[in-house]
Amino acid sequence: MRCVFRCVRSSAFLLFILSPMHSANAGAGVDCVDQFYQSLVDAGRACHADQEASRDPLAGLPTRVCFGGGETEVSCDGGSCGFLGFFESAPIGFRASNICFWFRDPSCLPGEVFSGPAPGHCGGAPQVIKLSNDAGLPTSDTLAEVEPGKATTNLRVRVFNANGQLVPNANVKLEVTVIAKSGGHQHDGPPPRPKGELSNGVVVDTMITGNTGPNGMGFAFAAPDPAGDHKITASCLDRTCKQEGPDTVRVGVKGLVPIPESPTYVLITPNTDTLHPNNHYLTPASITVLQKLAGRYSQQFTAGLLLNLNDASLERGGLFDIGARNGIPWRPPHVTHKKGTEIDIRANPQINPTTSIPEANFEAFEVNVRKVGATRCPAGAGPAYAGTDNQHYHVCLTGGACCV
Amino acid sequence: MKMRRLSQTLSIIVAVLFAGFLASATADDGESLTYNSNTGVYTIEYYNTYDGPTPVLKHAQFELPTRIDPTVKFTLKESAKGLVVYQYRVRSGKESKQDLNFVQLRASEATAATQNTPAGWEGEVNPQPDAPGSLVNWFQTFRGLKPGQSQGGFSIQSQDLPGVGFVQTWGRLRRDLQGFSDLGPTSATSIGKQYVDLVNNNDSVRRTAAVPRIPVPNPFDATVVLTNLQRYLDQDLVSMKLIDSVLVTQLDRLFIAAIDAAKRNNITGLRNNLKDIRQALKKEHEDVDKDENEDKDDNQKAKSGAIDKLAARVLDFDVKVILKRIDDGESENRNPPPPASGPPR
Repeated sequence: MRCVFRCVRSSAFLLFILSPMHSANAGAGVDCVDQFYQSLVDAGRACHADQEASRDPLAGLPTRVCFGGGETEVSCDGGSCGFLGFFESAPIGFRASNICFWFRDPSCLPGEVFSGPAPGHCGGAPQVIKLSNDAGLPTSDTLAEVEPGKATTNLRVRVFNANGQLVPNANVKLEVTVIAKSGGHQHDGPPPRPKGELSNGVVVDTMITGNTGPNGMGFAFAAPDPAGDHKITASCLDRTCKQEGPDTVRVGVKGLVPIPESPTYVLITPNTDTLHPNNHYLTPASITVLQKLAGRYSQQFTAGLLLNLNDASLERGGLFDIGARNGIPWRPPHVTHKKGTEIDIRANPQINPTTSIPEANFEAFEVNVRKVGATRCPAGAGPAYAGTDNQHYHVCLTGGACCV
Repeated sequence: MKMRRLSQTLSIIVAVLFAGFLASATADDGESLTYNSNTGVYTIEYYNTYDGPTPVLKHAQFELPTRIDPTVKFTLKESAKGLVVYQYRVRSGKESKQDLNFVQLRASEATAATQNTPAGWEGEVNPQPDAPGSLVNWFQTFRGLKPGQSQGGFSIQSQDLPGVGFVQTWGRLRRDLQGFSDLGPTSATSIGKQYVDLVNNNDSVRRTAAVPRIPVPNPFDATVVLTNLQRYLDQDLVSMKLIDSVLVTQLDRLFIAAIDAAKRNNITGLRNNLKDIRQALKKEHEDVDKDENEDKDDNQKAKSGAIDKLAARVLDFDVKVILKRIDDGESENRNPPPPASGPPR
């Protein structure tokens, strides 16, 4: 059994009568809606952008039929379809009862009176679901900024009515998605990029539900190790509401800047790891130390020897998964390189005789590292990855604990 | 039928859990960290868990730069320019196993121009971008102070007053060890955690000494300096466990009174408060105002456990300098410089 439409015109109103018909007559119903839609166009009442009609369950319906009425989801009940009235006189009403057709208009809510096909003609402004940050918003479109691997607990979801008043006790759902190729990673998987986790104190997951209570529902966002932009989609479970406002949590280390060009060192570019093209980011303090280190080295060894700089951090720090190019994303090998405080310096003269620290200078370089207050990892004399093609010095520019 | 299916499901779950257990047991199996006290060399077997999907057992040998037993002596003086002169002598103990080749301290204020470096050594003052103050370095490359040798002539001048801080020293590492064929172990494994703790806690050998630590504004302001000194007493000395709480309270009261007197420009009261502080310190350590080099027997005259002797000595020096600056200031006020001669009116 399917429901189809039959148009009845009246001088006072347009009336659609939905009645059970056999599928053989379905085409007549579609024609009817087409005709009605055309009448809206003729009347200058075209749909606006955020209005749409679902094509289901009546496949084949014109997609631009937009009556509003909220997400009035009804189903065909044993073929007994009801009436859909569309009145031109004000207040224009909308009734849907037991009909097998739904309209989706994000600007209308269930039970609200529909007052016409033009934008905003619902019987009240839409309810809105908004995310906020009790600690204040970094920017208008950013909900929060979180360091990789850390969490923010200041987030809140609230539902507001047409007048901007808080609607209590709404059942809501929050879900995290990661924006593709964000955070300096030109790859997304597989395996898929780790998502931030939400928590309302009860559940910890990438999708949570809960009740907003009297003041909204507080929740936390725990960032994964890789930098990136995480979008939190909020929706209502017991009403129709539209999400507005900031929805993006930006995971990353703030304040990293690209290492500037300098006559005292060489930035190894372009990065052969095309999945992470921007690999020369550090904190300003680390750059100061790096410049001292490189300056001292170039003064000490005047034969044109310069430090050749390889991976530092990605533009927003976080996990630097150089294993991604070998099909092992979202995990070390770069165990550190997360905060813009560490850098690899080429020390493999057997492979790069002209661009590496020569072995004879290793000890002097190590003394220079200490002079500027930096440290090295691993412990002991000599570079990391000793004896391999990848031999290099891993220097922690701001000192302190280096091996983790 | 249902029971059979349940039994099968449970078997699968148990098998999966057991396989997981085996994998983690294997991952730790074979890891070790051993120390050879004769050679000072650590040998470590660890799993590299980050260079590939499968953990790989690695082997490395390393030495820490802490096989030295240094002694650091210092003297404090005031220069004619009103700067504090910090002089150090470093001795590498006979038991040292490495050549001591690096001496470093963190100064709240110091400039390269005032650094003195003994012959055969290099010196450098490095302002720190992410922390107040500078690192003051003295170092040698490719060699160092042999066990049993001592070296004086390390000095720095600063407008800041001394507080108890650390002089860090390093031993020269041998170059013939195998090293790490990767970044070394990480805290991801138990041995890795031991390793990380070991190297991070044994990066240098530290000795307490007086270092520039108490900021002194220019021009001199007794209220500011005393406030800084009080903060150093309440926070730094307490956190370093160099003073007990009863004496902190007693000295704190005297500092509050002194700061109050300084604010009110009550020089007599200020002077008396400062003398009381010195008296309180002398009560704890009779020879607190003696230079370390004059102190032939550290323990004989030590009277109190309420404050570390070195801390008392440094604090006494600070108060003495403040008293002198106050006297100098008074003297200037009593005998102001003649006014600059101008054109006749």
